[in-house]
Amino acid sequence: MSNRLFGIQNKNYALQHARRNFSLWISLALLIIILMIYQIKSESVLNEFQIKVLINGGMALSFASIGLAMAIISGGFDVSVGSIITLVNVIASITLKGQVFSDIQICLVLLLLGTLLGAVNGFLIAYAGIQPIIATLASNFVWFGVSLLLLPKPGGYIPQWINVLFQGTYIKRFPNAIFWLILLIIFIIYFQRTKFCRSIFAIGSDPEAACRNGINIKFTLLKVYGLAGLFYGISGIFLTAQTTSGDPNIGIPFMLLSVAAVVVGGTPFGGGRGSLFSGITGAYIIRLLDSVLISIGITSYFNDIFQGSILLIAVAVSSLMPKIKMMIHKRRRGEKFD
Amino acid sequence: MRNLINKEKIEINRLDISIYLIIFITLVLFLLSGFISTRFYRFSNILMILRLSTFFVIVGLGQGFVILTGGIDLSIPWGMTTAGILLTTLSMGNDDTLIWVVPVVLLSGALVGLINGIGVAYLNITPIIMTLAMNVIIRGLILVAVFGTPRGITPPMITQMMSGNMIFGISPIFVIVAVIIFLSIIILKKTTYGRRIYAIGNSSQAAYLSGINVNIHLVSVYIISGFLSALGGIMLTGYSTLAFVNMGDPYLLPSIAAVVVGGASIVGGRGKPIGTVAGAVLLTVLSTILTALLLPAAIRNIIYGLVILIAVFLSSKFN
Repeated sequence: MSNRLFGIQNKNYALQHARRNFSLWISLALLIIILMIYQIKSESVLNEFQIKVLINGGMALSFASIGLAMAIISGGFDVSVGSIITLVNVIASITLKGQVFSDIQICLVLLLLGTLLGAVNGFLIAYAGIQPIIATLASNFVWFGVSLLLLPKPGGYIPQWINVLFQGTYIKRFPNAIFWLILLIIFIIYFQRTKFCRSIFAIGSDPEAACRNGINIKFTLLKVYGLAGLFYGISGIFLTAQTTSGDPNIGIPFMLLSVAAVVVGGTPFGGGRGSLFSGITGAYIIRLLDSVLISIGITSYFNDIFQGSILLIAVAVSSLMPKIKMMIHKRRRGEKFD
Repeated sequence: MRNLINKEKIEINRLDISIYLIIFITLVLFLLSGFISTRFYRFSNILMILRLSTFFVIVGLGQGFVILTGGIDLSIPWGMTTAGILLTTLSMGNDDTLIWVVPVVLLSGALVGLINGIGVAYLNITPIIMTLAMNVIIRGLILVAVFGTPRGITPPMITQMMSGNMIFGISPIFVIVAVIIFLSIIILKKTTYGRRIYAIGNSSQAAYLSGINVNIHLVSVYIISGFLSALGGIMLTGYSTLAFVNMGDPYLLPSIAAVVVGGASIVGGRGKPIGTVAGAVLLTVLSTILTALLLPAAIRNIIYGLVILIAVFLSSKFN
């Protein structure tokens, strides 16, 4: 359709992909621009330590945002990001002992827990027929309440090896986070070619049509939120490794940050459009902007204002984007046919 | 045609039944609370519960207007906190200043609502995102303005408004809240404006095609919600004698819960202010019982969350 409008018959796959994921590429460009600004601001070539901090800083948010991006692409929404991260963090800080073998088992159980909590959201949305916003808002408060019961004030113990595994460096010059990031990207490339991923997009763009094409909408939604929950769980473990302590309020900012990351990364609301990569690019854009602001010397009180404004601007732009595109299309057609 | 009218009547009856059900549950809960302590039955305690419920009623009514149009207002917590902090810092505990401070505070709440409304109606931003972001932005602005710690105390007149004794232990606030409840019932039931709000909630497309200026009405609901949350903030400051950061945070979930428990549809177009009031009283009784049982505050959030889920589930099954 768009090819017809442009009057071009394009066989080049890369170009087609670029055109379809226009917003994603814009956000990638934005990321590079901000990186350059940061580079200029820090007045020297980024050293090993800076790179490590930058990459580590965005990992937890990337995972959380990818989970949220799935929910948004499927036409829903998820406010419970922060609460699932918090619950995982709190339970990890209570149960981890420092013996590598049993700790790994605990981490796997925690990931299972994240999946389960996500699946509860999915069940409420798909089978009980509750609005995504309300279902996840309510479960958000429930899980925050549970974490507050388990760990009333910050504390707990996180063994060192987790911190090293996710945030440290095994091979010189290459922080471990780089490998996790590469693994994540490979997973997304693989995942976006699966039938399951396509059915998420199908449900998001038109549930009726998806149903007629033989997609089990309810079960797919359950799986989507379950998978999203798994990603929140991974994000929780990354965050735990980063902070090396338990905190019942740790996930509160994630509610806003993850939405901001997804939208800045180029996945608009409404479902059926966007890309899971938007979670990664968006998360790093936001983390980098944070660092740039700090390097300029803006106090942390302004952080809230800044994050809220970024979110609003991004959403406003992405919701006005279709109108702008229509204008461009009309102008092009006008030039062609007049 | 007659069929249609009958159908409408049945629908109205069904709504009323759900309100009676809430009142019944509230009474049962109240009677059960006597098992904890017989002090629950005292007149002073009943007044206490009603006084506590006025917060939920006020923010719930505002939230109710927004939910009727199919939106949601998550900026209520910091709408309230802003109002409280503005009140104490501007008046500095002085009664004489109230004559201009109170209008300024209420207008600031309305201003927050106006910005919310413009974002939702004219910039097409999803209500949940717009209000969530607004909540955080106001928090940032206020924290920057007061450097993290608000100063000043509540003027005595505001405290009097909340807990003063006019007759039989009834405080002025009861009269104010009763007037607001009455006004919102009249507005939603008898005026064209109210009918249009319902129409927009049922289908904004249809409302637009029948000549309603949807955007203006959307903005107006958010202004009402912002205004009422500012009023709620003033009341809360009067009750706790000083304003503090995050004082509005516990009111977000109850404001939605009261509306939803009161039989309103979360997708808009259905619901009554009187249901919200009943829902608010039910939640207050519930939370008083939880407090009397000495359960940690975290439990309250869990129970509010579950109440919302159950109420939304039931209302989606029975309608």
